[in-house]
Order: sequence, then structure tokens, then C-alpha cells
Amino acid sequence: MVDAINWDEKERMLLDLGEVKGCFKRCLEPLMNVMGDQAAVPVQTLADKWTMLVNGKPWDLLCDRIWHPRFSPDGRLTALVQLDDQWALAVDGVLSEERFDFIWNPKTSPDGAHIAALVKKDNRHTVLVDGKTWQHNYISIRDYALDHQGNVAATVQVEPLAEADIDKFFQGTWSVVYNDVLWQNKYINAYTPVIGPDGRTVSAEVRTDRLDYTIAIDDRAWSTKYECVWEQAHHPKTNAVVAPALHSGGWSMASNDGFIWDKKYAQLWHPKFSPDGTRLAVIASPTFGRWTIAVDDQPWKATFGDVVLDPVFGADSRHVAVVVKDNERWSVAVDGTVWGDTFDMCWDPVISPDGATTLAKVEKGGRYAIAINGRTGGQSFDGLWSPLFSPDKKSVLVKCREGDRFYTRVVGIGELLS
Amino acid sequence: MYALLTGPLLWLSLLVFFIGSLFRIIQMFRLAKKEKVIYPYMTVRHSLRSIIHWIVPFAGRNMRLRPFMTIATFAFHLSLFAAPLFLVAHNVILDARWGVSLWVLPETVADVLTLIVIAVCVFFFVRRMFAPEVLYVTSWGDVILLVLIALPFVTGFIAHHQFFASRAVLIAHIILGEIMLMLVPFTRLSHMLYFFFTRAYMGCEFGNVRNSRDW
Amino acid sequence: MLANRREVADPGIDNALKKLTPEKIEAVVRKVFNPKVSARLKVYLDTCVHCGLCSNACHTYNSRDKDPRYSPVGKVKQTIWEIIKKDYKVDAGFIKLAARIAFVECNACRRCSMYCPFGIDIAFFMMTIRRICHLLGVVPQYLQDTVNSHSTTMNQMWVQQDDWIDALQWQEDDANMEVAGARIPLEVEGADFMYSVIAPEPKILAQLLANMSIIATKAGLNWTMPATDGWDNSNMAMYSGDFETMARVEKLHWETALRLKVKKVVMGECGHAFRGAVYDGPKWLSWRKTPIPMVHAIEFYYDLLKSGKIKVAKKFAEPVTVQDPCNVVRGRGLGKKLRYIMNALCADFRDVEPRMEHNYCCAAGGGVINCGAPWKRDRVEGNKVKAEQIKQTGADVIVTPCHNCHSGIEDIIGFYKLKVHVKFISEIMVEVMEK
Repeated sequence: MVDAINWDEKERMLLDLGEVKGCFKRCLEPLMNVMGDQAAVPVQTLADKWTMLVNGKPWDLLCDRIWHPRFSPDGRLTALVQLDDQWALAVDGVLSEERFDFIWNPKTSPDGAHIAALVKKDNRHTVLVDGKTWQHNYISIRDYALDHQGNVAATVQVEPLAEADIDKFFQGTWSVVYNDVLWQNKYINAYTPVIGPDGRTVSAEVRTDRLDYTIAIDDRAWSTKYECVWEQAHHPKTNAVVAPALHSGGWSMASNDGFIWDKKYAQLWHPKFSPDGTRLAVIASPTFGRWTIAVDDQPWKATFGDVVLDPVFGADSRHVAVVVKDNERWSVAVDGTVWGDTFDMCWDPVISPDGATTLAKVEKGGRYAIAINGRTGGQSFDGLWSPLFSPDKKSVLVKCREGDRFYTRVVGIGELLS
Repeated sequence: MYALLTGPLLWLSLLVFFIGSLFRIIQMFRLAKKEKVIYPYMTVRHSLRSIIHWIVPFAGRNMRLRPFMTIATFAFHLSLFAAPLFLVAHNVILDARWGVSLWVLPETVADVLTLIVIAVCVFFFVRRMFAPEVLYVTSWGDVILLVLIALPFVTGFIAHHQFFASRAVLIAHIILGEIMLMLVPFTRLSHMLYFFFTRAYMGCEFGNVRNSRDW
Repeated sequence: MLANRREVADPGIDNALKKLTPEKIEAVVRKVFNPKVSARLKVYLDTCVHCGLCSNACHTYNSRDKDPRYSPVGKVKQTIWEIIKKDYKVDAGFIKLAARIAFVECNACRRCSMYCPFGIDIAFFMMTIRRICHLLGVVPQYLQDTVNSHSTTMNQMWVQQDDWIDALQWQEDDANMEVAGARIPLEVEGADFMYSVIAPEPKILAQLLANMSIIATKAGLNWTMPATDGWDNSNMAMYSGDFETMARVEKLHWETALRLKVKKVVMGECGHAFRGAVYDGPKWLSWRKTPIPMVHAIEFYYDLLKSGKIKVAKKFAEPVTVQDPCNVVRGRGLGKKLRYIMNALCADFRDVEPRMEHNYCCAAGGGVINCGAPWKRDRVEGNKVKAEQIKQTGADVIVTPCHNCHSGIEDIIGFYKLKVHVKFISEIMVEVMEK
């Protein structure tokens, strides 16, 4: 984990692809893990087999196809692999016991301890979690959530539907399954299952009638129905559920008891509680065509014309940073103040533990850099992976690619800006 | 009677026309603001581009497809404005009342314009009755409106040439003219006001939003 | 006396009508059709002088012996004016006719707006009627089924997530046989663009995905496609009046592109999908324009040919004509670029007349083809002018850079027995390009 990072090691070269390239027919998109101690590349061998090359060393596992390689937060490398027309999940080169007709959409829990994926067996869908598949399978699974305890909630189709059977559709053919146990009620549609912080409560957006949308918690729908709702959020302490909801042409934040915010917005989505639960930040459009963040029903004064991405809270819950786009240029806004510089692309910002510094991976002119409080120094890279603050806030872990070489470096903030 | 009609009642009709029109336009602006998705897409350039293409004869494809109708409508609308505005008799009244007058047309030209209006009204009526696609959407209101437009011109022409009991016709002409003026903001004659705005909006929808043209 | 319209049974309409009460109809109509809150509804109503000049704009009117009921203003008279005349107290019989007019007899192609001297958006009136019908639950069965697919799967043909990815991988393999190293890169964060398509591609026209792979590989492009929902940019909910579902589909589509950190979205050869993703969807969601740019296949191919990234080895020899899709030609001004492509790829390109913004709709667009088999005859009968237009060119092949146009014109060719084949641009491009 992040604690295991050696902050004293100034530079480490993990891989020189140039040295090994010749051994392979093709190398695809490389990736680096959070701690910066592994660089991996999917490669096709000269014998037309696929494997993962990690820090220059290939897995023993050779597959017919390999895709969706991702490092979990704890540093394990997962990939979806095909062998003899069957599919499996490979973790650090070790295959899941079972083989499937297909496997897709792998997810890891926030700490990386749990890994899940959707799988198809005998033309039905089920869930693979931590190497085991659920007992039951379903006609179809679409959205699913995996929490820090390895619990899985998913939206599932529970009734078969004949072609163009619109009557049956509106009687409800979808529901939610939690750890392989189905909810009793059927809904017309069910979206975005979320597992509460207690690991027991499950909520989902549901469509209870042709024109009625609301949130259902543990299979009980809110009594108030709305013209539309978007993805809900659970309070990290109280487990209370809130969701953006549309009523009479205006959006506001709703809970079980109706609207909890006073203002009406042209749009509102992606609610996010601060880690301590004291604040609620939501992407908001206060007037048509303008976007900002509303924190506890107070939209920032600064608004942006193109798009505003998910709000990111600092660990102390005091600061909110967000990627924004205005007039075709990307930037970052922190607590309502936008950075001076703009970029071709910005990635999610990271706020330092003391809240004083915000950094983000940015792209300019086809090269990547780290912007610190809106400023970039002379260092730029061919490839860059999510930067991290050191515990003393003075340095940044830079995981980058320069040509064919992959490095992890610990760089002082001053040095990065020079 | 004549003094009343060309004095206070003329005032009244002009007032109703201007204030009524202003009211309708302000009402439209306020509604458009409330609708939220109108103004953010509008630009002066695309508005003018569209308006110009539709006030120039044959600039749009549909105008070229229907040359007779195009000539008729342009002649009609030009005459409809030019004849009363630049008529000697009207400007004499304006001059007498308020000491202002516009440039005036020779009487024969004014006569021709008046006859154009009347003739095109007849053409419009015939078209309404005999073109199936127009008849299908014609209501009594459309015919009445046509008559209401034709009447001030017919009576004006008669009064000018003193064909019949000219005094009575003149009085009728003034009353009908003032009624027509007052009806503009409150009937479909308001297309005269809205034309520029509906065109501007569609011009921007096509030009600014969809990178295309609307003629 | 005008002949009665052919009776068509559609459970999506007929069964729903049985459940309606006069009170419910009035309440919904009053709520949606409220000129007091819509400047457009109000001004359009007050401005229309009933001149009928929009008539000759409409392919259904021109194809049905100039029957005035099919003229744009004729459709407004039978629907909108009727509501006003009856002071909102319209009955189920009215809704049945209004649904037919708005869903089947109007393609929302907006050609009539170019023929109305005032630029009245007559399609907007028809969309308002569709919204009323949706709120009343009166939607043609097959169109509603498509919308149900959108709301459930976020694509229009009930494509399962695994089938989507499987189709891409299978087409990647196929493309590989044609061009070594061809890829369909999945989930590549930070690629230059995301390519989005509509559900018929993985479901029934999978070779189009291989075509894109071949083209992008030869052109050396850095692109990606999502392996999650959000890949389908089509949107029949936009046409059924279910704007909430429309918005959900478009929201996910744009959020998928944002998640992949791409700088633009290139979309396949589809017209209405462009409209949904660029205009109607964003507007409902409060985006004045799309959060990142979207490029239609026509612009994309144009750039590849113009820049020389794709070179033509030997031009397509057969006589070819083209269909200008309403939503990207009248709706985006891509007519000239389309002709550049046609001339670059084909030795014998024969243009249509009228053309570009003035071209006739295929009569499949606007959700009409999705109303399904019950309405097919009405649809093709309503586009005789298109058959005549194609025939006049003398071409053996017609290129349709839009899925709706493609299917609609195939139906017209079948019905009017034309000896013409329908192709997408990518099919000709892959055939003639240097590989």
C-alpha cells in the first residue's frame, strides 16, 4: 500500500521497454501501479500469444487474448484473459479457478483487498468476487458496486422479456441483488446500486412507474416520486441517503423526506460527501449552460461553460477541488477559485493533507506534467501516472515514462516547479 | 366627424398600434428569457443573415420554386406599406396636425400600389379557396383578415377618385384604416412584428447551432 | 373528399388509449402545451398565417398526391390547432390520430422550417405532440420497445454488455486478417478520441466496426472504445418524447467519454444519434454545447482523405449517388464535405436533386422506422419522391452515411423495385483505400 512507498529512494527505473521490445511482436498501452514499484505492458509474443510484462519480466501465463489490465490499489495486477475460447480473471499471472464464457467490468474495492467482475456462464450472468462466483445466475446484470468488505450489489433482470413486450416491461422486470440475495420488488428500471458505509444498506435509483423515479433503500422506495433522479450518495457517518431529483422543472437534493436543499438548479448530479460527512458537494448548473460546484446548497460564484467533473475533497474535508472546462480549455478550480493556467486535459486533482497544495496531472502539447496550485515547471513526460503527496507534503511521487523508460521518482515540490 | 377621426381617434389608433406592438414584443422577450434555451444560442450575425435572405426576393429556394407567389407577396407587402405611408393625402393630414410629413409618392404611383394591394388580396383569396393545401388550413378568420386589409385600400381608392358618395366612403376608409392598425398587435397580422424574431431564432438555430442555412 | 387513412393496429397506441380518461388527457395536454410558458409555442401560433407555403417542403405531402393532411401546416391543424379549438378538451380519438401524425407521418426532419417564410419550427410542434403522447403512455409499440431498451441497457437493441465487448473483439480479429496489427483499443484512457456507434453495429452490422478498425489502423490513429455502457449514442427516447430517458442515455455517453479522458468523440455513420448527442441531449441536461467536441463520421472521413492519412488506391467504379442525412446535413452543414468524400472515393458520382440542406428525408428518421413493421407501408408510401429522386440519378449504388437512412432507403428500394444497392461510406472506403 501507499505506506510501503520508500520516500528516500530518489529514482528507480522499473522498465526499459526498448531493451525488450524486440522480443515481442506488439506492446500495447503500458500502466504503472499506485505505489510506483511496478510498470506493466500487455505484450504479444512472437508465437502470437499474449501476456503481461511486469518490470520487464513476463508472466508465465500465456493467453490467446489479454485485455483490461489494471493495477488494484494494493498493487496487484489484474487482467481479463482468454484461453482456448474460455475466459478467466488473471491476478498477478494466476488464473481464477473457474473459466467463463465471458468476463468483463472488473472492479477493486477502495483498498484493493477485494476484486470482482461480471461473468457469463451458460448464457446467464453472475458475479465473480474474490475468486468465487455467486450461486445464482441472472438473465442480465448491468451496474454493480463492490465495497471495502467485498460485498457486491448489482442491478439484475429478474423476468424474461419477449421481444417488444412493452406491457410486461412496465410491470417491472428489474431488481437489485445484494450478495446473491434478491430484493422482493421488481422495478421498471434500476440503476447505480450503492452500498452504504455500514456494509449492510443498499440503495439504488429505481423507476417505479412509467413517469416516476425515486431511490429505493433495501428494497423500500421513497414515498416521494420524481420526474427524474440521478445517482445517490450515502452519508459516511449516518448512512442517510441523498440524491439529486427533478421536480417541476428544477433540480434539487432530495432525501426520504423530500427536498433538503432550497435552491432549484438547472442540473445537479454526482453528490459527494466530505470524508467527515459535514459537507455535501454536488456538480451543479445554476443557470442553463453554466456549471459549477454547489457545496451545501451554495453554488460557487465562478461558473464554467463546458463541463465540471466530480468534486474531490481533501482529507480534512475543508477543501474541494475539481476539474473544470471552459471555452475548450481544461483547468482545476479549488474552493471556487480557478487556476490561472489552462491545459489540453486535466486529471482529478489531489489535495495535500494540510489542504495547502493541490496538484494534478495535466497535458499540454501532447506531453504530461504535474501542475501544483496551477503552475507547472519545466519537467514534462511522455507518460505520467497519478501523482502522490509524500506524508511530509514536501515531495511528490512521480511515476512517469520517458521514451521507453519507466521511472518512479521522489521529487521535491520546489524542484517540480523549477 | 372627420376631425375626430383624423385627430383623437388617429392618435388612439396609433397609440394602440405602437403600445400594443411594444407590449407583444416585450411579452415575447420575457417569455423567451423564461424558456432559457433561446438567447444562449442567438447571435446578431446569424439573425441578420436569415432575415436578409428572407426579405430579398428569390433569395430562398422556396421563393424560386414559386415565382408568381414570390412576386405577389413582395409586391403586396411593399405596396401595403408604401401606399399609405407615402400617400399625399395622408401626409397632408400629418402636416396639418403635427407639422410633419414624409416624402410623397406621385398620385398615379400610389394608385398603382393601392391596386396591387387589392389585386393581391383577391389573389390571396382565390388561392385560399382553390389551392387545396391552403384551403385545408383556411378558417373564417383568415378570410376576414384578408377583407380587413383590403377594405381600407378599396375605400381609399374610391374616396380618392370620388366614385360614390365620397364623404361617407372617406369616413369608412379612415375608420377601417384605424381598425386595421389597431388589430395588428392582437391578430395574426402580428406576423409583421414577429417575422423578424422567428426568422432570427431559426436563423441562429440553423446558422449558429447547426452550422447550416435556412433559405 | 379525402380518403380515410389505412387502419393500422398498434398495441402501443390502441391499448394505451383504453386506459385514458378525458380528465387525464386534458391535464397532460394543458401541462405540456402551454403557450404561456413557451415563447416558441406562443409566437409560432400567433405568427403562422396559414399560407401553406411549407407544403411542398414535405416528402409525405409530395409523395401522397399533395394530400393537404400531410402538409406540415396540415399536420399542425389536425393536432395543435385542434387542441386550441377544443380548449384542451380533446378525446382519445384525437390522441390516436395525433400520435399517428406526430410519430409516423412526420420525421422531424425540419425541412419545412426552411420553406416557411417565418422559419416556424413545425417539427417542434410535432415533438410537443410526441411528448404529450409519451406522458399519456401512447407510443407505437416498437418505438416504445426501443426506448425500453435504451432505458434498461443504454443502447437501442438490448445488447448485453458481454455481447458488446465480444463483438468488438471479434471484429478486431476480422480486421486483423485484412490489415496486420489492426485494433479496436478498449478502455484506453487518454486516447485522442472515443469512437461511439449505435447498437445495430454490434448487433447486425458488425463488419462496420472492423471497417473502422482498418481505417483507424491505416491512418495511425490513437483512439478507444468503451467496454462499459455508454458506447451507444443513438437515442430513440428523444423521438418518443421520453426526454428523461433521452437525457440518461446522453449523460452516460458523455460521462463515458469524460471518464476515458478523450479530447473528442468521433461517431459512426448515423444522423439522429448526432442530433441526440450534440443538440437535444445536451440541451435537456443544461449543456449549452457538448462537453467535449463531437465529430460525425463525414467530418472524420473528410479529414482523413484531405490530410492524406487515407489514400485511395483505385476509385469505386460503379455509378454512385448519395443520401444527405437530415440531421448532419441540414442539421450540421456537412453536405459539402460529404461530396468531397464521394468524389474522392468514387469515379462516377451522380448527385441528387434537390441536394444538401434541401434534400428529402429518407422517411425512416425521426424515430419513424422504429415504429416497426405495422407502419412500414405508410412509411415507404410516404416517400415516393425519394424513390423517384434516386431513380433519376441512374446510380447503381447509394451511399447513406446514416443508419436510419440506410434502412429506410433499403425499404424504399424494395418497395419501388429499384435496382440500387445501399452502402455506408466506410464500406466503399475500405474497398478502395490503400491497405
